[in-house]
Amino acid sequence: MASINDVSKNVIMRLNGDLYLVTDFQHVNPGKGAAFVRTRLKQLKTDKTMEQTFKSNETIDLVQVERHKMQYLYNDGTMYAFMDNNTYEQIEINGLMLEGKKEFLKDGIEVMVVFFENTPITMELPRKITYKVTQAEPGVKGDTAGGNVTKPVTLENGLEIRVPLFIKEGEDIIVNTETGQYVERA
Amino acid sequence: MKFWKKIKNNPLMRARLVTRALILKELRAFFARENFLEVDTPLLVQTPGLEPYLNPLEVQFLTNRHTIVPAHLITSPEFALKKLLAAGFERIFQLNKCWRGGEPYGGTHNPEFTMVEWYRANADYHALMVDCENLVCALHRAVCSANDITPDDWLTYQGIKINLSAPWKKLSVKDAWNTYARLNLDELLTLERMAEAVRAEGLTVTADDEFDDLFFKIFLTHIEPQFPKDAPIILYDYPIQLAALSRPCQADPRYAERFELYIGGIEIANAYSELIDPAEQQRRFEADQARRRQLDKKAYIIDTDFLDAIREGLPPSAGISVGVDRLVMLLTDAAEIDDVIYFPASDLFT
Repeated sequence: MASINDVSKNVIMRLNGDLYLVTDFQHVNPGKGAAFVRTRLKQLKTDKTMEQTFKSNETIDLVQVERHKMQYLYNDGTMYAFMDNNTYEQIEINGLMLEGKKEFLKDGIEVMVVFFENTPITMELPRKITYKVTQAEPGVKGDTAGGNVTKPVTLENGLEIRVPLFIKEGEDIIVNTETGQYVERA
Repeated sequence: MKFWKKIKNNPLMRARLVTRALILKELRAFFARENFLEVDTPLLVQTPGLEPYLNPLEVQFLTNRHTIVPAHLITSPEFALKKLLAAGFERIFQLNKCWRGGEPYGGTHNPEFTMVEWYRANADYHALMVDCENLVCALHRAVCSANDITPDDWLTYQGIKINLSAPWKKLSVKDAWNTYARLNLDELLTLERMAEAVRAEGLTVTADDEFDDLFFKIFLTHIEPQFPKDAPIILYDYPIQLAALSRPCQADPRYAERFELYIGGIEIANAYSELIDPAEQQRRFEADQARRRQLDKKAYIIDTDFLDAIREGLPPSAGISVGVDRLVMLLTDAAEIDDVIYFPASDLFT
């Protein structure tokens, strides 16, 4: 048993007899009320997503998972293929289990694949990834509302994000995969 | 990175802090225009608030007799301000720091934060709803003007365009439950019924869950996340179990005249038509003490001077507190409270 307060992404918990992957969580402290943890869970059996809120002192039943470093190979729109560089073993993960993550993948990148009872469940991205900017308008005036002066660019893997105006086509930039936001020039 | 270095390296950070100062100035200007008196009651007190889930910070206070007694940093100036209502002030506001221990660092929380609290005698919470509309629009326009942007009622926060035009959307808690969770709150106002509803939603119920805990499990899972983000929303009339220090609704005493304001999904304000019935006030304090004991927290003594003030007679009054740092976040398009306050806890307490 573990405390819900110590929950993290990509752990698997048993709840009412079923297994769920924690895909996201958030501590919520209403101004008048106890502390809560709001989680986003994916049921392993059905791929169905649900939200669940726990009081922060509740205990949860975490199950043991294993993590292996693997390289991203390709996807066919549904399944995402990864390879273990030591054993050359290849595995596939359904894109449904990679919500909010798959758009950050780029050719050859190394990720941690999460296994439960020898079945790949999901993967964890490096927190920061470097991408080449493949498309950027040079003279865009930018969106100046609120003092945030940014413009949209397209990255080597097709991902579109907002960056400061000084970023040019062909430059390498670092993106935070947790927030999906530009961090700095590489 | 240390906070001062962030300011040095990031012009946007600096710009936000400059806007923060402007917002504080405009806040005071707003209340001056509305004929409010600025008061500055103590931040260090003997008897803190009794709210079960708040953790007042304790200070070892060296008295004038050189004995050491526990004192507390306020979680809100509400007791002192209501005493001033009893003293005869009719429109007062206080802009100050408050402290709440055990809160997360970052996101929308910092253990030390800035709050503005104001009270109107001979008014109820409807007057405060109008104050919120006027205040937020005035601040937004001032920030626009200072940044050479033509002022209008559109605020962009984290990519979402928010329409600040008054009147804002007002939704009773009961209607919110009906709309977003398809549940009739009237039928769930006991611990047992609420526990059944929580279980039916597939959520957990534990032995120490009180009514308000169960309320929040459904509210935070199914209701709050669905609030529209493109306009402010005022949620009003909470079940009496969540009344805190607000008075019961006259038409239906199962609910209390309390509202919360959300803008861009962030909880900005909490307001009451104040409870001015001394017997009921004492009863709620005692219930809070009991709950604190149950939670293994210090059951602070009741501020009897506050009860005396209420007994002496408070006019029907309305009071509200607004998280100023969160307002600054909204008005400067900052994702994190740490981007708009000086030296956040994450920088000080590592």
